[in-house]
Amino acid sequence: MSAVLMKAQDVCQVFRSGWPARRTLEVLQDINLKVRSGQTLGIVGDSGSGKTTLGRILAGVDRPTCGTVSYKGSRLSGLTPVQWAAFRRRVQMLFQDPEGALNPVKTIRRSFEEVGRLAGISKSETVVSDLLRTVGLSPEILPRLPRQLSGGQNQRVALARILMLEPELIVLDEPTSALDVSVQAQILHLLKSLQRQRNLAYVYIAHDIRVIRFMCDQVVLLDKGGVKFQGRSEELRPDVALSAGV
Amino acid sequence: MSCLHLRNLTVDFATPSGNLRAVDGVRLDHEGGESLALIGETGCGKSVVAHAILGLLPGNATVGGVIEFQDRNLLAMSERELAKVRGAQIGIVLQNPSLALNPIHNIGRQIGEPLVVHRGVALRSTRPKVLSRLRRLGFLDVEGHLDAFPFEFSGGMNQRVLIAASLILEPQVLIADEPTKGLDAGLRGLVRKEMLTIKHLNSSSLLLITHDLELTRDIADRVAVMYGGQIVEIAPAESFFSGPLHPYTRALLQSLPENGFHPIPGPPLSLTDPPGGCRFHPRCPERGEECARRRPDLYASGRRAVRCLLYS
Repeated sequence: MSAVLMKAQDVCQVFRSGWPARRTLEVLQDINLKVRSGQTLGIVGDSGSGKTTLGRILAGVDRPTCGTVSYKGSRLSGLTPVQWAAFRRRVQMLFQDPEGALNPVKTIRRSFEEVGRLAGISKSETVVSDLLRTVGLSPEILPRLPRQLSGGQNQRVALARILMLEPELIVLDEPTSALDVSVQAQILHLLKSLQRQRNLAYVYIAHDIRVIRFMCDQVVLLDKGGVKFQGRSEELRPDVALSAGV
Repeated sequence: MSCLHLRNLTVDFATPSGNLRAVDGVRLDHEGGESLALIGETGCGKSVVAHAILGLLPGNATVGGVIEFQDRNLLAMSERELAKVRGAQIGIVLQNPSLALNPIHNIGRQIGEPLVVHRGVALRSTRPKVLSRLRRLGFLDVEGHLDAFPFEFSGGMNQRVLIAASLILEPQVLIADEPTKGLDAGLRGLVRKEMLTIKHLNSSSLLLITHDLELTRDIADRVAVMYGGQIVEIAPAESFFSGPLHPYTRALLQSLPENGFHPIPGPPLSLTDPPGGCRFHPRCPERGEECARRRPDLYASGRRAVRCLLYS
């Protein structure tokens, strides 16, 4: 069995609103999971079940209210700034809306340059062109703006930009739900092929159980912030998924 | 009974990189009372067709051909004449409710406004009809909703508000432009329900523009498929799903989750530099030598039509 990359223990998330913190909303309760190198963990649930909140915690975008998240055995809450910077490069997040993820007034070339500058790395245009080819795009798109590309092309650009940082784990938050069915099929196959080539681990967030079954080894079914099922994706029974609104 | 006829419809956009033909010779008859789905991938030109019907295209667009509605060519009408048709006789539900609704006007005003503009009714007097529309679309606290603003509603509720505003004048044709685009599963289910309500409660003909094949399966009586600005197949919905004819349609259905997510090979078509012959031939698994040279016509037989040399 492959090595554990990420581990979440007793994670919960509570949002407070009003002053002074009169209302609390517990969006995640007692989440325990492991993400293994080169494998895909699916997080599935209805709208509002807490799957994106959990994905953001695993990607280090948000901190949990309680519980711990560890990456390669080190707790995220105890990382030094240098270790944190390394973690943020190795664990990336791909969002649902590719046009929202790319700056609309910057060309694709500038978008790559900006990420490289922020991460303190410099990649030649040849490397960037190779990355674009890896995700099935032509380097001819480098001078274009996101609005001059289709949704599927923009999602590939966002993926290539992530690959530039050489991640080990990518949290994919509904990466195909804004795309046409045929483009969805292309992106899913691309993700599988990249996983094989680069031994990537994925946390795949989706509301569509068919996508989860196609993509994932293990699955966590969330219902109102709690875990309703956890195990191999083929063992998730349709009636259990349906009872959680999936 | 036909109510909307498109004859050799073309739409060209003048772009910095040259002329782009987004719609290329579309011929389509939309029959009265039917739900017709115009489907295809993003960029195939289906929304451009909808916007051409209502004269909503930007200034760099040139529209050719004929769009006949009630024996009149919409393309020959002045803007003033077209404004009387738009909304009153042909309604449209635009694809993004949060952008289509005015954020500083309340819901009651936005639903009642077509009555004020087209029928000269005082805004106050639109209230009973607005309330009745909201009830029909499943809103419960209808009185309380009239003074609400779009930001107080969910995406699905705003979608229903748009539908209510589009239907308040009881148009003969309702165009729904990508009503499920960008919505999550729950909201897509709600919109699907609204579309079914429209289909059952109204005598309007529905022209559904979508890439959502599940919505198409639930709603459409007939399906027209677009690829690269052209109609490539027209079929009754049942035979479309059970026995698609065009290789593109077959490939599109193969990419559905229930069929195993098989992608269509090859890159998407570039409208700035479309291939000669059949537009799908570079990606077609069944292409022959002639496909690159000869442009196929739309071959019709009964209620079906297909643009492919395999059927010539």
